[in-house]
Amino acid sequence: MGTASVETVRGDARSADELPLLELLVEDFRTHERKWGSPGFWAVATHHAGERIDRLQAPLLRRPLAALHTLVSTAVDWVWGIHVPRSTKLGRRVHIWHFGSTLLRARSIGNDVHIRHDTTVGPVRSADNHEPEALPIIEDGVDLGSGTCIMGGVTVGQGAVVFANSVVLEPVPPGVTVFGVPARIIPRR
Amino acid sequence: MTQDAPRARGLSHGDRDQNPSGIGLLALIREDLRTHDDDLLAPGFWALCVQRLGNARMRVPAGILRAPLSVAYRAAFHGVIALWGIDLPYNVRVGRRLRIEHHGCLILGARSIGDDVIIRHSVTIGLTRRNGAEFPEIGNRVEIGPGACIVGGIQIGDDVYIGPNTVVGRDVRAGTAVVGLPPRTLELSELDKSYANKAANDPGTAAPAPPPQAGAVRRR
Repeated sequence: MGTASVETVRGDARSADELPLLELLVEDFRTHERKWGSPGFWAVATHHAGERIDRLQAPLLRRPLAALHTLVSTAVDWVWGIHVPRSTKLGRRVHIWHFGSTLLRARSIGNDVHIRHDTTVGPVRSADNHEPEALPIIEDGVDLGSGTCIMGGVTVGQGAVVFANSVVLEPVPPGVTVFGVPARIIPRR
Repeated sequence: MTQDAPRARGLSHGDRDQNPSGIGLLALIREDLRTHDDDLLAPGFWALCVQRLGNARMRVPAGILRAPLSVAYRAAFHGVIALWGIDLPYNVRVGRRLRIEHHGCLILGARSIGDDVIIRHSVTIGLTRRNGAEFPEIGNRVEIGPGACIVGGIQIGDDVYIGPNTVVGRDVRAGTAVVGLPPRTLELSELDKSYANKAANDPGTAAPAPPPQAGAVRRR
């Protein structure tokens, strides 16, 4: 799904799952401008590491590492307010800019996605509906402005741009720019 | 809500315990924890816990007995703001089973918040402008989406849904949904025609000018 455009351009079509963990973390570090202090790097790297830890077979190895993962991801959440639930499938080179109130409960987030602070991705109503169909899909190369809300079982298509503070409740076709509450497509000049 | 004149909608003075009656403090906190999925790492639970304790301390006679409790409460209150950005003062009357989802930039200056309310992050409840004096009242079973602003001496009725990034400055009738900017009011039944189910995963159906419905998943 969705590995065609950006990936092949870079000559590396492997998904985040197929990459060795170390290579993946180095790539996350590079994506976040090689800054150790970047909150986004810690959030993305912790999430990628957590996915691998979940896959470990030996409980003696998995349990302490899972506890460590909970500790670090909670620290990232408390200190910077970036929360990426375990259930979210995160692609490669996802760049989370800045920090604060970023909640990414998506079915999947593609490669080369840019996410800014105060972004909410999740179900329309929080109470009871966390099944995958109620969660958004963010495809490759999407650019989310600050303060955006992507809600419900919608797909934001490849390369779409969502302007700041927009609320997306409808599917967004690939390549378009949307803005407003609720978000509407801005025609190209 | 009861003893004040209709226009006097300032915050309470906080001179007494405003925790919900008919339930003990420990049972109340236990219930709050259950509301937050029994997750001791949920910032919303701790913010609410500090708020409940801040109220409970007002049962202690003022003076040398209460002073240390007040110091501890203020320290915890500012700690919650510094760590998680949840500003929920003790003189806001909060009903039972309030659920604060996620955290960051939550300013909850309401006169009262009802039972079974859900508030997500970046929500502002407070004054219309700096020198205003009127705060909102939030009813029961209200859900407030992320980034919403609810301002002024308004009343939000029961069973209301307030959409993400919506700014509400007028009374909201019970059983309605308020979505969009500028805000529009829908019946909850309209919201029930689940947008999420109808259009899930089908980018082909998106029209250049989307229909006005903001849509939602079904209630309950």
